[in-house]
Amino acid sequence: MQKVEVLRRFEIEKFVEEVEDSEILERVKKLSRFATGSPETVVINLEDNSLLIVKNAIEAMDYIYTQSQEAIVVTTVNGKLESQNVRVPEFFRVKGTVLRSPVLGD
Amino acid sequence: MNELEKLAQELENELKREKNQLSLSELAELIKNRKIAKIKELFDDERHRQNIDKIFYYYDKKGRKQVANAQIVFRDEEYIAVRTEKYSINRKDYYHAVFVIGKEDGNFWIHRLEWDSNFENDNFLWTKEYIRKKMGFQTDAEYVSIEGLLQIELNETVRLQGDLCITKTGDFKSACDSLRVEIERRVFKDLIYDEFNSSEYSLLRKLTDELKKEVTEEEILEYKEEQGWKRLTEKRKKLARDMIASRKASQKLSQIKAELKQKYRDRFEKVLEKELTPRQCNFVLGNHIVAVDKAIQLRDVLNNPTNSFIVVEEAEMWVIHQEHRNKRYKLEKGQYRLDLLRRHITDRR
Repeated sequence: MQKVEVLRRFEIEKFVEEVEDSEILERVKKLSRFATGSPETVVINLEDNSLLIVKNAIEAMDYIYTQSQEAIVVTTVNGKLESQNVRVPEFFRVKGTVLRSPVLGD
Repeated sequence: MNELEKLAQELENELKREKNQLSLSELAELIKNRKIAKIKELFDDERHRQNIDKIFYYYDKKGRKQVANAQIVFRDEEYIAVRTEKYSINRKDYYHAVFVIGKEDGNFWIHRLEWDSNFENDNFLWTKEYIRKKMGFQTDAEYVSIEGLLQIELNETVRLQGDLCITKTGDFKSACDSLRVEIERRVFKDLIYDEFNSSEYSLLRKLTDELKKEVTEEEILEYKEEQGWKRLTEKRKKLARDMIASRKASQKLSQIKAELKQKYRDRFEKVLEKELTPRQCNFVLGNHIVAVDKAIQLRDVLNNPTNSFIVVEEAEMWVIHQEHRNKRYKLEKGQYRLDLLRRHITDRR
């Protein structure tokens, strides 16, 4: 209940859809293993332009899997950027664009 | 937490404390005395630790690991630059590499510079300006920040944190003007497809071919005068006909565009309003995440989002990074581009 309330407060539930499909999950795990090798921070540009940062996650085909379920939403509230820690479902599909960067920085 | 975990945690905390307290000059002493294991402990990131190995060792032409002569060539309160030996398999020759080390938010970082011939000069005078230029920036954000507002000059590149930097690439007015032109170009592209079922280029070619037939002898003679040709060969006649038709086709296309703009005025205004409305823009560069609260993200010719954006009115920018503190800055009106610093990229050892 708490989780749903936090998500609703930041209105990300309309972009995050919990998925319970082990076959898709297996495919996502397999694909992300080829792509990245290990969990990393996945950054998503949600459709309302907020930023969803999911730590220790893997991503493929716009599906996200995270054991820690920890995420941060950075969004503009009354013209100011605000961030809030939120809990996301363990396996979910997201409406938005996954932002990728091939180069690792300092 | 069991006893062993507690002990491990304490050791980790102790190491962190030590690392935070260690100054760059103390690190320079460790480099001088080749305390490699100790230096490696100071870097959390595996990639940084690999760079430490690259400072102190190299692989010779037979692939044998050799001890490199690593010398500190520059040192001040912000950077240490270490010049070291390497062997190039491709060039079959020895050369030098330079690594720059700094400390930020309690963490040490290490950055390998792109090679240039000065690295081979034993008497080269290393300066902070040169090191920054090699890394591709002029100054750090803290020096141009007044109460968090970044005052960046046009074409100046400022390092925000780690290897993330920002360049002011245009003033506000010219940025908006070129964006307006670019958006109109995109709308025209769609409209020409809708109306003529072809691209702008195909339409121009089609118009040119049609207009070639209408070119008169008088027009060709006028073109001859214009070009200052003494003789009019068949080859030149053909060229003149092509050029006149091409010129006329461009004029005709402009006329078509003007008519389309008039006919679809609402569509233009709607698109311009939508595209020119500032919104939150998010970027990922390396392991840096950047969010700007009120900006217009620019797109490339293929309509893909780029790391460039226009700030319409003073905007707030957050820089989020796992190893650094999150930073907040304010940006003045203008066009900006986010980049990673220039680095030597190689898989070579």
